[in-house]
Parts: sequence; C-alpha cells; structure tokens
Amino acid sequence: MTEWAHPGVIMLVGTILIPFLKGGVKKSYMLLIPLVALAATYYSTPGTTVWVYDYMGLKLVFGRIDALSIGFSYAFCIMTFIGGVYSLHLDDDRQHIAGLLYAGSSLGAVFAGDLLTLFLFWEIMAFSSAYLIFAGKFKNSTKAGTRYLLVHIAGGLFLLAGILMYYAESHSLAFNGFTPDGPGGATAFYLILIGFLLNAAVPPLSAWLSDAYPEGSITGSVFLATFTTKTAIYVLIRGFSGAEILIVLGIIMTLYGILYTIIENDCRRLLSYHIISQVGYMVAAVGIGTEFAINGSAAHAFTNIFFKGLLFMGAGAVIYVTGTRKLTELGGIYKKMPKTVVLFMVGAFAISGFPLFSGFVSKAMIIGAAHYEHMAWTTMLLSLTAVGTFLSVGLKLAYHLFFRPNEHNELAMHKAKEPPTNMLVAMAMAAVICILFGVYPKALFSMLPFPTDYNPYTMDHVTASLLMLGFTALAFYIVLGKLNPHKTLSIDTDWFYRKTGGMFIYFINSPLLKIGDLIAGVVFTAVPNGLIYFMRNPLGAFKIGADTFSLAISGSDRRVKLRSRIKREKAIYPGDNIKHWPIGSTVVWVAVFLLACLLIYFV
Amino acid sequence: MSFGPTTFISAAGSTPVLVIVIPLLAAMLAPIVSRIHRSVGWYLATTATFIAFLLSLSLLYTVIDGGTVSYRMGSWAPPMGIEYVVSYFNGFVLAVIAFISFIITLYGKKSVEQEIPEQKIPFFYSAYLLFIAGIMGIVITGDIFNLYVFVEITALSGYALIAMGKDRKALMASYNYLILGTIGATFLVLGIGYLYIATGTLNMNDLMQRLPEIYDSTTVITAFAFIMVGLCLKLALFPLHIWLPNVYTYSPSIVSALMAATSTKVMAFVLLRIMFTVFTPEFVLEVVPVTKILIVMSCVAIIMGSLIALGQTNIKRMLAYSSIGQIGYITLGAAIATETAMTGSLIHILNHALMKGMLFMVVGAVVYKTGIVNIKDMEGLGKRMPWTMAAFTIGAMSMIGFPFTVGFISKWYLATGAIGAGMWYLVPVLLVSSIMTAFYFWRVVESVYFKGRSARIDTLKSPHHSDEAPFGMVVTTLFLAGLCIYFGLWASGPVEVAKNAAAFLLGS
Amino acid sequence: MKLSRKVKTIFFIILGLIVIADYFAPRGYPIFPWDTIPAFWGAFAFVGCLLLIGISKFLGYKLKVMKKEDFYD
Repeated sequence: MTEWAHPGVIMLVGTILIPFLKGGVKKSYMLLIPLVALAATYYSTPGTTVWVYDYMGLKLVFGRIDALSIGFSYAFCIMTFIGGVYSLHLDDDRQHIAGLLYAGSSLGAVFAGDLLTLFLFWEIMAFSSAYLIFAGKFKNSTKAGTRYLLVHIAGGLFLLAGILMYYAESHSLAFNGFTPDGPGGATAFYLILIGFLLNAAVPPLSAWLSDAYPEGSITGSVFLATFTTKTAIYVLIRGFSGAEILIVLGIIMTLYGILYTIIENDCRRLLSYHIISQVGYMVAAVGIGTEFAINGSAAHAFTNIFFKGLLFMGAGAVIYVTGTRKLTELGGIYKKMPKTVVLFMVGAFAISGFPLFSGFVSKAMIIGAAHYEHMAWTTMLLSLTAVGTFLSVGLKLAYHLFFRPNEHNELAMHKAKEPPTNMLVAMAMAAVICILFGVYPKALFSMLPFPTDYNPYTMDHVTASLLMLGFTALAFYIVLGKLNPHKTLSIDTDWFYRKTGGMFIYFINSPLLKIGDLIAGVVFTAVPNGLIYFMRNPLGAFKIGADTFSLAISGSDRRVKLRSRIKREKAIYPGDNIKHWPIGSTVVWVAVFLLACLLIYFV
Repeated sequence: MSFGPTTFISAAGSTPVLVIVIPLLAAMLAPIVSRIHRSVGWYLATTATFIAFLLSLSLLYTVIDGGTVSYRMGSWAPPMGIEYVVSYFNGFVLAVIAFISFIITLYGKKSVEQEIPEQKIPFFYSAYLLFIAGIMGIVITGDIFNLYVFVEITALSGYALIAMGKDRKALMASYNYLILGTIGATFLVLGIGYLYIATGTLNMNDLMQRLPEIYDSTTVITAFAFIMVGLCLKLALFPLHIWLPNVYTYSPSIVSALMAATSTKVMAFVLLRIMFTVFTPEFVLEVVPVTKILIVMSCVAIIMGSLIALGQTNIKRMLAYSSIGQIGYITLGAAIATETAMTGSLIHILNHALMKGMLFMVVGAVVYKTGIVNIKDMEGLGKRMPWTMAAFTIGAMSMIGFPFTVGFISKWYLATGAIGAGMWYLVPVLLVSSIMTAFYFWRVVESVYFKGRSARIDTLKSPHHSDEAPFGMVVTTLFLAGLCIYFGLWASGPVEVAKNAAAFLLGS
Repeated sequence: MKLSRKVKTIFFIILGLIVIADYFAPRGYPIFPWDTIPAFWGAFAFVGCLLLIGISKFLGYKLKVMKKEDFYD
C-alpha cells in the first residue's frame, strides 16, 4: 500500500472534534481515535518511507515505517486506548486533548525519519505532557509543571543545538546512527545524546521525572509513565545503539532508581523511581547494541509500558478513592478494594519478573544479552536490580499500599472502595496484556525489530528466577520480623517523624538528586528570581547592595542610619521608573560608542 | 525616461511614489474629513494603508518578475534628482511594513476611540498616516538625504503619537524620545554631510560607485562611524535602547503595536542598506571591523534584552525589552554577513514584525477590555478572553522558536548561518536567549491560564459587555497569529524572497 | 507481619523444592563460573536484598537523603 495514514497525525487531528461532542458520543469518539490509529498501524507496510515533504529545501520524513517504528506504534496505540478507558469518567476536555496530543506527538516522533520532524514532535510532547502535570491540581502541581516544562525546553534546545551542528556540516537532516566522528563531530553527537538522555531520565538529568510525575493528574500519569521515556528509548535505539557509555549509564540508572524506591513514601513517586530504574535496563541494552539486546530493549519497553501503566493506574485508583498518596497513611485497604488489589498485583508480578508474566520475558532478554556478551558486572548488577524491583514493588509497595495494618489509615480505610468501572476495565486490559506477553511470548516477539526464536522458559532460567524471588521474599520477611511489629521498612520513617514532631517524611534527596535539585533550584529559581529582582531597577538594587555592604563593614555609629536607609530603599523598591530615565547616561553611552567606533576604525 | 505627463500618470511607472503619496495625502485630508464624523478618519486611514499595501505588493511582484524598479522624482535624473528605487531587498520590507500597517489600522478603530480624546482623533490619524508615509519613504528612497528627511518625518509624527498616550508619563516618554531621537538624527545627518563633502553626491547608487576609491579617507570612515552610532540609537541597540521601553509602555496601544512592528525594523533595514548598498560588503568586512563590533553588540543586546525582560511586571514593558533582544537577532544576522545568516536577519524583519505587532495588539485588546497591563493582574484572563489569549500563546510559542512557527525559521537560518560561517559559539547565545524568552513568556501564560482569577479581574466584571475583545480586534489579531503559523509552515515564499534579497545585499 | 506456622512451613517447602529443582536443571548456556553453582541466584538475591536495604537506609539516614515533607516549602 502506498497510501498511508499517520497514526500520530490521526490522534493529533482527532482532538479537534472533542470539544464539540457531548456525552456518550464523545466517549466513544475518544476511544475510537486510538483504535483508528491502531488500524492505521496495522495497515502500514514495513520498509517504506512515506509522507516526505520539502520544507525550505529540507527533506522532512513523517513516515519512516519499519519493524521498530511499527512495534512502538502498536504499543503506544494500545496504551492510549487503555489510558482513554481509564480516564473515561473524567469530564475535562483539556486533559483528554492534552493526553491525545501527547500520545500523537510521541507517535509522530516514532515515525519521524529526520531530525527536524523529530524535534517538532519532541516539543509538542513537552508542552502537552506539561499540561497533564498542571492538571494534577495538587499543591505543587503548577510549580512542578513549570519546572518540568522548562527542563524539557532546555533539553529540546540541546537537541536543537546538536541538530544544527549536524545539519550545518552535512546539509542533511537524516536521522540514523550517530557517531562521534560523524557530521558535526563529537559536539553534535553529545548534544543530541544529552537531549535524548534527558527525556530518558538518566541521572543526573532525571530529577524532572520524580519531581513532576507524582504531581500529574491521576489519569495523566498513566500517559506520562508511557510516552516520554519510551520515546527516548526509541530514539536511542535509532541513534545510539552500541554506544558503550549507555551501558554504564543504564546500570547507574537501574540501581539509582531502586535505592530510592526502597525509602520512598509517596506511592507515585516510588513508581516514578521505578520508571527510572526500568528505563535503565533499556538504556543499558541499547548500549550493549547486539540485535538480541536491541530486541530486549524494545521488548522491555513494550512490557514496561503495560505493567508500569497498570501500576500507575492501580496507584491512581487508590489515590482517586482515598485522596492520599502517602504510604504512611495507607495500608490495610485490600478488603475494600479487592479487584484493584488483584489487578495491581498482576502488574507487580510482571515488573518483578515472575515466570508467566511479561517482565520475566523481557528482563530475561536484556540480562541474557549481557550474559551472551560476557559482561559479568552488567549481568550481576542488572540482576541485583531485579531483586530490588521485586523487593520494592512486589513486596514493599504492595504490602504498604494494601495489606499493612496501620493505625494512621482510618481516613483511607473510611474512603476506600472500588474505583469506577472504567478504571477497573482499563486495568484489566493492561493486566491481560501483561499475562499474555508472559504466557505467549511470541505475541511480544512479533512486535520486535529483529526476528527471534528466543525461549525464556528453559528450566534453569525458571528456577533461577524463582530462587531470586523466593529468597528476596525471605530476606524481606526476616528484616520485617526483626523489627517490632509496626516497624516495617518505612516504620523507620515513623521513628523519624515521631522524633521530629509528627511530620511525615517522604522527601528524598540523594547526593545525585541533591545536585539535580540544586541545579534546578539555582537555575530555575534562585538565578531568575535574583535577576528579576535586580532587573526591576538595577540602579536601586545596586544601591541597596552597596548600602548592605557598607552596613557590614561600618562602625556602630553609622549602623542605625544605614539600616533605616536600607529599609527605606527596600520599601520603595523597585520604585518609579519615570524618576530614573537617564537621558544623560544615554548621551554618555552615545559618546562612548562613537569614540569606541572611531578608535577601533582608526587604530 | 522621457519627460512628459504620460510617464507621471502611467500606473506601473509611478507606483513607487504613489505608495508614499497616498498615505501622505490621506494624512493631510484626515483632520478635514474627520469633521464629518469622527470615524471617517479611521476609514480614510484604513483605505489609504490598504491601497499602499496593494501597491507595495504589485511593486514586489514587478521586482520579482523584472528586477529593480526606479522612479525619478519630478523626472529629474539621478544623481541630481531624487530617485526612488525598489529592489528585491526593500520591495520585500516595503510589502511587510505596508501589510502590518494596514492590519494594525484595521484593528485599531475601537482602541483609538477609547484611548484618544475625541477632539484629538482627527490629528491622531493625521500623525499616524504621516508616520506610515515616513517609514515607507525610508524604505523606498534611493537618496540618502531624502532618507534622513523621512527619518525625521517619522520621528516627529512619532513624538506626537506617543504623547497622545493616556498616561501622563507618555509626555515624558515622548520628550525623552524627542531628545534622544534628535541626537540620533543629528549623528545621521552629520555622517551624511561628511559623505556629501567627500563625494559630492547623495544618491545611494552613486555613492556606492564613488566611495570605494576613498575608503581609506578619514572623512569617509568618520562619516560611517557617525551614521552607525546615529542608527544604533534609532534602532535601540543595547545600551542605546533607553528611550524605547518607555515609548512602548506609555504610548497608545495601537501606536505601541505600530512602532514595535515597524519603526525599529525599518531602522534595522536602513542599517543594512547603508552597510551593504551605500558602502559595500568589502568595506564593512575588511576596511573597518564593523561587523565584528556589531556581532558583539548584537549578542549583548540579545542576552541583555531577554534578561531585563525577565524582570518586568508590566507586560508592555516586557514586550519592549523583548524587542530590544530581537533587534539583536536582526543585526546579528547582518553582522555575520553570509547569505544564510543574512536571510535569517531579513526574514526576521518580517517575522518579528508579525509576532511583536500581534503581541502588542493582544495587549491592546486586553487594555481596551480591562485596562490591565500588569502581568499579575492577568490571572484568569484565559477564561475571559479565550481567543485573544490563544493568539498570545501562539505569539509566545513563535517568539520561543517552536518548530514550524515563524520564530523558528529565523532562528534556524541565523543559527545555521552562524555555524556555516564558523561562528558556532553564537549558537549558545541564540539558544540561551530562547530559554529566557520561554521563561518570561511562560510567566504570562502561567498567570493567564493556570492561576485563579485575580481580584482585579473580578472587579471588572460587567454584565453588559461580553468578556472577549471586540470582533474587529480579535479577528485581526487572530489573522496575524494564523500568519505566524502559516509562514512557519509554508516558509518557502518569504524565504525565497529573503534569500534573493540577501544575495542582492551581499552583491553576489 | 505475623504469618501462621502453616504458611511458613509451606513457604520453606516451596523454597526447598526450587533449590532441588535448580540442582537438577540443565544449564543451557553457562559462561561465568557461578552459572553452574546450584541455588546461586537464591544466595545472590538474599544477600543482594539485604545489601540494597542497607545501602538505601545508609543513604537515607547517614547521608541525610530523607528529609521532612516540608523540606522544599
């Protein structure tokens, strides 16, 4: 077929009608869009390049169709549908539109065959996803959303700078593998890589994810957990497969994420760290770069989309009904929402890599790829992360969210009930896919870029996995048992908050994250605010500064006078602009300018 | 060209002068016909600018088809007589200016009625049309002294327009501008005088022929320095920008929009014109290191303009400082002086005129409806004036350089031009200013869409008026917003013209 | 969490069965020396789990990673 409908464009254009429809028609229409996109994906011919346009002499390719892009398109379309079902109860056009724009632009990025098209969709993703965070309407949503948006604009500019360097040298926008000695040299290579890694949330560029995702709207988080990082993996596969630095970065990511999940109290923040950790697997696999590893990376992206989506939906359901997202205020609610618990546990088993669940297959492929390449450390550390994943999601999170007896959970217990049916249906669909991929891995393999006849269900592999899961559970139980009955892993935090006066502790700030936060704080708050203050009236600000300085160095007799003067100056700051319209200073500048020109011209 | 009345009347031949004469005549008529009814002035202005726009378009097409058009004033042959020349380069700028003036006039009816005292409206339109005639004259003239005359016409009518602002501070702003503008004009005329002394001609083409022999003469170099400084003051290149923020802030909304869209752009155009068509690329690149100085100055302007814009609480002032930064883009492209960068610079004249004109129109609509100019007070405006604010958002995106908006095209050409010229270190300047632009526009967008209503907005709620601005304002604003996207998506047309103009300027 | 004796017994029996099964499982593609050690991954998981908890607690308390909720306010 030469004619092709772009699944991403279907979603982007499809949003136009949403505000004009009502009731059931609107709901069915919103579910229809991802299905149409799915059909369009189905009717795509692999190996073709379509929708090629000329833009100011640049060749733009909107449709690079091959096995890799089709696989991601399937996963994205299905997840958009599930996310649509999950948010069906919601009456907020703007969120629906933002969600579809976000999904559509991710698909656009997936099918983009050149760097400029990629950049276009990259930016739409940033803006539309930022809206989903604003729509969270939690206390910090707006601020977190602003930080998120600015970080992504900055990341986009790194990408753009790289693209510009690349284009200026090669006069081509072709988006294929990059090498440090390709067009634009190492500068372009690393600039583009940084742009991609920021979206993949590689520490220390990951602070935006754990900062913003927990603040997103309940339904929006499902989309957030799906698209940005997975699109980043897709472009990494396209552009940087085999770049060895990615192995190291990937391993750091997996462990970094896991360590945070163990001490995290906010359930969605915990899951956000899991995104970082799981994406680490994929980044490492891209770094390994063999066909099998790339398959593993894509496979893990696909399975991850569904189990992470399922976990976010489950956590979202709990937040939706109870109104809290802190583990210290939850627990014991399994009796009130058993269906949610069962579905959530499917996701937890899948992410932990239980045999017969999807995570088992895809994780085995990545660790197997490292194994085949004789990478001992990589194999070991990725396995360690697998242990940590089961520990923190399968055991810790599930236990604290649903099972733990907790005297601080009255409010949650009181409010807890099953979420609306559409939420349960959406979760059930994701759960079915998690199990399907586990039981019938061929379904998953058919979406991968390279054909494979891998069999994850060899006996030694199954027993090894079961051993890991079993002994992790054992260790968890022992640590649990050694503490007093209430003191579970997070009970230590209880001790902490009792000591310090009743506040819950949930914020975590590691050396790495600290740097990230520091950068974010300085770059996005301190510097601009300082500059904003200063620029309101540079002269006045300078005067205040000078007076403060002389206050610090002067004797006591002048202090009173200086203090009152500073106070007065601060009170009138920034003051009236009309008072300091310096014609005189401009004239001086003109004179200086002329003199400088003449001097330079003649000397 | 033969002498005789036929030549003068022949439509195609006299289009260059008609472009100026029609607004000029309308300016004279405006105070008279406005006695019939107060809105007649507006109809007159709209018609005049519309005709000027059509004429400029036809000129542009003539130029594209048949090359440079020349018109001899009073049929006196140059270099003695004054010559009007329309080439690729100024034909493009002329069409842009005429178009924007027309749209802003169309937009301004209600705004003028509200902001200008009724008895002053006739004179307002008179000064307004004079201003437009002046800027078009600057663009079209081929005579350097005539250029100075038009600069003064523009400036003088500009002082009057600014002083009509509602705020008393408008008088002060106008007075400041008067003094600084006069200083700038004085430098300009001094420089022109030196050139005349050195060469004995005022015709630009003639100057271009005669100057190269005496490039090393002190007089010529001094003349160039004077002209540069005068123009930099006029186009508000940082740190000679001090008159601009107050002018944009306190003048009537429509005047802010018109000036932001046209006046500094035209001055930047004059700078390019004098640098490359009175003097030659060899002169500015090799004889005196003016492009190097200009690159540094432009970078400082880009960064400082954006930086100061961050600190503003008044939206008009924020846009004004943003303009100061954007002027830097135009001069930067000119200073890099490669064809790609120059294309970026020229296309940015169009693009920035579109964006900034439109943004000031949005602010004008907000002022018309609510009187709000403080960013903090704009909270919740997104719900009250959805269309106007949608236009603002598009303008903001475009300013940031979102792909496939006009702002992106300019930046793309400037950046690739800079890298192509081996000045890759300019790319961070462009990108850093983009993120600062994102930052200060974001503050407005956040306030408009993501905050609750401000107390100020709630007190303004009136049951008799719809919340959105009047139809005429919204439609024209949205039209420009649409163009910001249209020329971003289908950029080839303007880019092609700008490319040819750049090639023309660089003499290749 | 108190688990009944029965649950515990069943859990340990299952663990034992897995260990035995692992002892007999043919190794498909052994590369590293530990690939052939029976129940290696069990020990690995047990130690690794305790290690991870230890490190994260160390990060949380000793390196002051964990802060009060209103840390940023």
